[in-house]
Parts: sequence; structure tokens; C-alpha cells
Amino acid sequence: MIRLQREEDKITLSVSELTEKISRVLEREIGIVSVSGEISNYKLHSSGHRYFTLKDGGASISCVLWRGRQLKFNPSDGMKVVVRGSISVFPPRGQYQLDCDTIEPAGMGDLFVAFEALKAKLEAAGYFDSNRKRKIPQIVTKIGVATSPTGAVIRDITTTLERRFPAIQIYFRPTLVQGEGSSDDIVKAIRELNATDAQVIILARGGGSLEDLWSFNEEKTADAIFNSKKPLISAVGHETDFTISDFVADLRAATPTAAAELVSRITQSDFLDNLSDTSSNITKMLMRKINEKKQYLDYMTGTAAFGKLEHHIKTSSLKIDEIQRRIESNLSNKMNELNTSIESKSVLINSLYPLAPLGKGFAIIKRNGKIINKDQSLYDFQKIEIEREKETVFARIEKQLQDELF
Amino acid sequence: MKTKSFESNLERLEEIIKVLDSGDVPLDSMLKSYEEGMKLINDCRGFLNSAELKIIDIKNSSAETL
Repeated sequence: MIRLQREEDKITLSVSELTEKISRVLEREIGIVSVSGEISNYKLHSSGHRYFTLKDGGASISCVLWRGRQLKFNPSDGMKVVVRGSISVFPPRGQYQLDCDTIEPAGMGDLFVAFEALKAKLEAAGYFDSNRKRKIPQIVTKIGVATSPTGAVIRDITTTLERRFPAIQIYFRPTLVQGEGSSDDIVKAIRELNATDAQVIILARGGGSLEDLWSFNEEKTADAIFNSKKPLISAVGHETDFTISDFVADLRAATPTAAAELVSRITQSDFLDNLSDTSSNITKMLMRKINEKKQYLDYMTGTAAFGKLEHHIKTSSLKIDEIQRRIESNLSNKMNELNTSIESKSVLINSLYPLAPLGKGFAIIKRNGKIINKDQSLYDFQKIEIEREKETVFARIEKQLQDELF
Repeated sequence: MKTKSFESNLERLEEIIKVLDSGDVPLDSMLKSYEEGMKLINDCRGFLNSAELKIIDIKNSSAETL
């Protein structure tokens, strides 16, 4: 009994012991495996670790991809993937899980290699440089949109803009965004929208698989975006999808609606409010200037310099008055002097007046109305006029006596 | 054409605000700037209030075959 008891003790394991055995077996026997299946219940935990279930028609297994492990794409539910990793056991819950090293989309291996290769090439060529990314103008009134004419994308963009900035004008270039010829059409669309007067271009597409989005991962598409003269916003796929277009574009929008919001960062009604503010602001600026000038004027008239100027003007005008008075009195003195002198002179002049002697009884002898001067001589029988003070007589010379007598 | 003048109106308005804000100009040119600014504001307002969302389709041959 005692022995048996001991035997039983030996084969009875604690839960921990059993779990440890299981984990040793699983980890050693299975080791590192590649498993293909479909992702479900994908969750990105706030810690950065990613949890999901890998399943196929008959079974499922919990998987974890620790935070430090790189992912080259965004897994989502329903995606077929190939996972590489090892089995690990989680003792507290008695669960095993696949501890993933890598996850790759099943059957997409080639596309992934191509995506990574192109991304590396373009990055090296400077296509993604942040210093070549142009800013989207704050106010945009004309945009170009390249997207599918069917589906929600164009509707999301127009309704968003209708709501936020109804004055906007949209150049819509219906574009093939999937399948054969789509990348060529995207290239053409970007070129055609560059020929319009749109200020910004939105290149948009709804979500889809890596294959669906492939035309946005092609080099010709990247080149067209790189060479676009107008700033370009890429809004391709869902928030979790990244395409080469997103990396090359001046701005990446998570969704088409977000792209429409990015070209209308200031809504029209906010902008109208801004305009009202601006008008009252510039009025204030002007009033401030006017007040400044007024105060300066007041200040100037109050200063000593201004007082001096006023004083200076007053004394100057007094001086001018004084000078005027002096000139006037000088002038009248001179006039008086002149008058006196003229009077005295006129007495003298009167005495010198040639006719004055007539008053004393002298006479003037004229011939044909002209005075005969002292150098002219008279001769016999000559007719002359004798002019006296009060009469003139005509006379004839009887006899001229010889000059010699004198 | 109208939109283009809207953009250039805005640009000009910004210049004017800078000038007015600096206050570093004679009063009479400030008055002129102010008048011009008020006119630009009214023009911009008028444009925004009168314009409606417009969608202009650009012909695309490959999409039509879809």
C-alpha cells in the first residue's frame, strides 16, 4: 500500500509540471515553423504587441507578434498570410500560441519584394525627402481630383468640401484606379490636372488588398507624382494602408475625406469671420495712427521749441513793422527836403527864365519866328519881329552899322 | 478668372495688413491702403458668398470604356 502510494505520488504531476512538460515537447518537437492561414481577430494592443488568430477551415491557433518585430504591411482580418515562428506555451492559462518572427501575405511574396525594392530605390533617389514636400495653401479655391467615378471616394470628397468650403471648384478627372492600364491612366490624370488652374491635386482611392492598390505602388505612378508641378495629396486605401504614392506625395491623407479636409483647413465660414476680424483690425490700426499723429501735434504745440518759434514770429513781425515805419518816415523826410529844395530852385529858375527880361523892358528880336542869336548879324532892309512883354511888332532895318564899331 | 483675382486679392490684402500693422508709413498713404484693404475684404466676401461648389469633369477616354 505504502509502495503503491509512492508509485501514485510519482506519476501524479502538478499542473505546472505537466504544463512544463507540454511546453518542452512542443518547443522541441515542433521548433520553428512556417504556417499559412487566414488572419482573424487582429488586434494591435496599446503596448505595441499584435495579437491575432490564424485559422483555416478546420483549426485555429493564437498568434502573437511582439512589439519589436517589424511588419512590412498592415495585416487585417481575412488576409491570407504565411507566418514564421515557434510555438510557445503560456502556463497561467494553459494555452499555446505561435510566437511569430515574420508575417507575409500569402501569394503576395513577389509583390512585397517588388514594393520593398521600389521603395528602397525611390528613397535612395530622394523621392521621399521631406524638404521637397510642398505646403498645401491654407486657402484653396480650385482643386483637381483623380479618382474612380464610381464608389464612395468622389462623393466623400465633394460632400466634405460642400460642407466646409462651398466656394471651391473641383476639376474631376475620372480615373482608373485598379486593374490593367490603371497606372497609365493615373499618370495621364496627374498630367491633365497639372494643365488646369487647380492649386492642389488629390489622388484618391478606397481601401483594398495590396493587389488592388498595386497601381499606386508602381514606379511610373511615383514618377508622375514626383514630377507634378502642383502639390499632390495621396489618399489611397484605408488608414492602415501605405502605398508608394503616399510616400512620394507632398502630403498623405488617411482617407479621401481627410484629403478634402486638408484642402479646406480653414472652413469658409471661419474664413468669413476672419475677414470681419481683419476689417475691424485694420480700422483699429488706422485709428491708432491717426491718434498718434494727433498726440504728436499736441505735443509739438506744447514744446518749448514751438513756443520759441511763436515768439520768434512775433518779434520778427514787430521788427518788420519797425522797419516799415522807418522806411516810411525816411521817405517823407526826403520828400520834404526835396520839396523845399524845389521851391528855392524854382525862384532861381524863374529868374533865369529867358523871357524874364521882357518884364524889365528888354525886347527879343526874331526873324521868321526864330530868335536871332548873338552870332547872327542883321543887314539893311531886313524884316524882323520885335517881341516885347505885351506886344510884337514887325519892323525893317533902315541901316546896319558896321560891326567894326564894336 | 474670378477665382484668380480672389487669390491675388488675398495676397494683396496680406501686404496691406503688414503695411498698416507696421504703421511705418505716412498717414495719407495709410489712408489709401486702408481704403484698398476694405475694398479687397468686401470683394473676397462677395466672392465666397456668391460661389457654389462646382464640379468640372475632365474628359477621360480610358474611364469611358469601363
